[in-house]
Amino acid sequence: MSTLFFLFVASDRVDEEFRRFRHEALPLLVYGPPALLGVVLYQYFFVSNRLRSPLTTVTQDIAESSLLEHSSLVGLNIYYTTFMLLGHALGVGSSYLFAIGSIGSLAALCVNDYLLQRHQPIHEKGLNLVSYLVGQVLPIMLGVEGIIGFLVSYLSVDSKKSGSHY
Amino acid sequence: MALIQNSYNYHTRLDTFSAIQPGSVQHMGESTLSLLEYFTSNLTTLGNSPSPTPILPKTPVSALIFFSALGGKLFIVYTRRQATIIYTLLAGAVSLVLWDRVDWRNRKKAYLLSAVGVAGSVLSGVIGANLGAAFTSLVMGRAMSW
Repeated sequence: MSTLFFLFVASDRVDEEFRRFRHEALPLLVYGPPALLGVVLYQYFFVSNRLRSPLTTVTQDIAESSLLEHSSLVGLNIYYTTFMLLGHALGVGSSYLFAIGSIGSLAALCVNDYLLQRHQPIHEKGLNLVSYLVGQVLPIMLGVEGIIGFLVSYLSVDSKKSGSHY
Repeated sequence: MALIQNSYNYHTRLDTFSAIQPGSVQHMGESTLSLLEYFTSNLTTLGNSPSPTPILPKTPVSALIFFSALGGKLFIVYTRRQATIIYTLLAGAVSLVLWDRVDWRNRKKAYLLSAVGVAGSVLSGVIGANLGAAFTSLVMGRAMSW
């Protein structure tokens, strides 16, 4: 909402020189926050609110947070693996992107559960901060370029529609 | 016939002559020559060449999965058959780890909600971004004004 407000205020100050391709990273600022807001709202109302107790002790709150962290990583793993198999069954070559996500999240889960949190009881396992890092390595190294290559086709069509030049 | 390296620069302000790598023109020339040889061979209705290019056995592109990474330094290719084996093994490994590390008996609701929640979050992210786009376009009248 703050981004949209900023844009609303700034919209009267942009001129014709403030054109596409000169500030091509700005769409990230425009579309990123609303997208993140959608994700957070969904997670808050449809996942967190259904799992967390309204009144808890500190210990129970920590346990519920740990469960949410762990179940989110497991959910991510299930999501990537399911779409990898579905996409491949339908002949979609780009399913390799989901495979990369699946390997990344599986590596994070294994490092977290078998190495970093191995002494924790299974129902109290949260996520170690290092696990977040492990889960991002493969997607960043191998996946980002594939996503960009996929999106560039939209950029091409988009730029033709807008009639912009650089 | 776009050049394959650094395709993320295409149609951006980074798409300049200086970004063209040495050898790209040679590569494009070879591709053009191959196309010309094909179009002028007896393999097409345009054929008028006395010595058409022989047809060599090739794996169709549709049977391959390929992608580049690390700025084109890494190029990975495998067949769909190999992909089936790799993805099946990967799914098996995931199933094994999830069976071992998740308390399905007592925590099933949390893990299922989270699994569905990932797809819901993706959808919510798409909706959120599009609402933002609709706001800038319809309310502000400044579609893509950056």
